[in-house]
Amino acid sequence: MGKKYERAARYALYPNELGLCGPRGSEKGKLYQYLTTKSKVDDNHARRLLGQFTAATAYLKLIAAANGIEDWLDDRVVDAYWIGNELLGRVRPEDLRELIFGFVGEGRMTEAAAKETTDHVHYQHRPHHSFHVLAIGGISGQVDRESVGWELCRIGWGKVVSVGKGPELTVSARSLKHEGNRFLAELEEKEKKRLVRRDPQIIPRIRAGDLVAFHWGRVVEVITLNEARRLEHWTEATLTACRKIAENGKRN
Amino acid sequence: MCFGIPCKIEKIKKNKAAVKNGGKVFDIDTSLLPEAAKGDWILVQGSIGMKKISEEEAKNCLAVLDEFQNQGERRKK
Repeated sequence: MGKKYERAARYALYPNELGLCGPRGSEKGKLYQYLTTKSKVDDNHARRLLGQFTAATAYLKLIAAANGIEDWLDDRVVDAYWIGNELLGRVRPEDLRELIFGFVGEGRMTEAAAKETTDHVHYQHRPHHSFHVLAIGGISGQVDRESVGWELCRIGWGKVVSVGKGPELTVSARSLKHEGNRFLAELEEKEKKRLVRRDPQIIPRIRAGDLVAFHWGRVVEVITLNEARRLEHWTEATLTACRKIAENGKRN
Repeated sequence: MCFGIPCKIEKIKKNKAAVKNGGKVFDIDTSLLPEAAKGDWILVQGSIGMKKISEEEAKNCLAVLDEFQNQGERRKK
């Protein structure tokens, strides 16, 4: 039997390892166990762990509700949030704004930040992970390395160029470019080579030519061409909606 | 939130803190972190402190950020 929540766990794993989100204390590290061993971390436990990623859970529940899907960890919902699919089209922008104000109630965002953020929700924005990072993720310009974090936090994709003996592999991928205004960011037209890492326990087999998705510089999974195109489409859609906000000066 | 940059609190008073990041010190809002104290490592998003993290997590995260930033700088050369 496969692991029921493997995909959701893969995308959540690396930011949790870095302490950015998800389970804390003794529960941190359990997702890794879930993915790599025949351990005591079963599907029910993994589900509870995934529920501790409060932001991701809010988006997943929103997508599920908008599509009449009972389980927020349904494969179609997980695919919509992390990769992007047609389920996103059924979520209304006002629901996205409500979700953002929900973060205030949870003590995860100040009211002022929520107000400013909802002012920058365009009617074409959808609850894709790229929205959470690129439209909500605050960039003040005062914090060193924040644009690097911004790039690493979005889900990247690329083609494997070469696989070394160690954990590093070279991929060809499109990076973000922005001239100090995050709402005017776009993907570079040409792919460039960059290094990402893989954990052989998580990604045991990989070869040149494979397409991969990566999060925080670590390979999450090997993806199909269709998945890569959808990830690109929904990331572009987020960026396009952000640019429209910047060009119009206010939301539509 | 899965996005934030680790910074160390240098000074804190009520809901305002001076944090250090990359050699620079700047002010942020810590109203979401009522228990934050001098010396704590926190994740900063924009100009808001989002959550406390351990020193080990902060250093691991900064190492990943540096690794990627250094790649970009090598590509420019």
